[in-house]
Amino acid sequence: MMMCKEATRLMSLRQDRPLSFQERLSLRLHLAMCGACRECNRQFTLLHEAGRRFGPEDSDEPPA
Amino acid sequence: MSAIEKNDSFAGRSGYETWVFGILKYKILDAMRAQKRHGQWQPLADENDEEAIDRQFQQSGHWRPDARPQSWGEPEAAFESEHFWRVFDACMIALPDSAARIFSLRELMGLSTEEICRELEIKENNCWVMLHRARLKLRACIEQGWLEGDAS
Repeated sequence: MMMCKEATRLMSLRQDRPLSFQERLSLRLHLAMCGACRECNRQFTLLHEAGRRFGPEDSDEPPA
Repeated sequence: MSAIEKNDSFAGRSGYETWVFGILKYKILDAMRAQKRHGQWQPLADENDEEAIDRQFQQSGHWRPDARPQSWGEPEAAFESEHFWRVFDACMIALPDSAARIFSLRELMGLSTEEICRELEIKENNCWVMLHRARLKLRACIEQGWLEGDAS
């Protein structure tokens, strides 16, 4: 069973690279059960979004 | 390479900000290369990082009760708040140098971890570990400042 600390590792990782199927599954299961980690996940996403607002248009994501 | 020298190639770019940020990005990379040559860049220097992270978790891997993440409200409300950005700024400054640098390269400059690791000549895995630590620290710091300010 994955613990919160390990779950935050995957939450951070998903901001940097696509997760594997196994990683996505473990994270999703954990988030379904853990409210604190759901908040943490939102916060990491918010930090990522904050950086994009602050930063350049030409980031690593290809244009839609 | 300076902004002036690059001026000729500006016409084709999508916007002034994009252009300035593009230059800034290379400036930062240049600075890092120079530092690395002089042996000042030590990505693994702050090992007591681990302590700061352990303060948020119990031995079992669960959140410590006093460190459990709280809701920050709607992201839009945060982004429109001057207070939020002040807290964000203060927390960035409070981060250890190497954590602040790697977070800036990734999230503010938008470099991929692959690019960052190529520049710093560190393993990508190392990059992910450092970013994980930086994000955990930043979230704890911002949460404190943001929610406190909210209540007052």
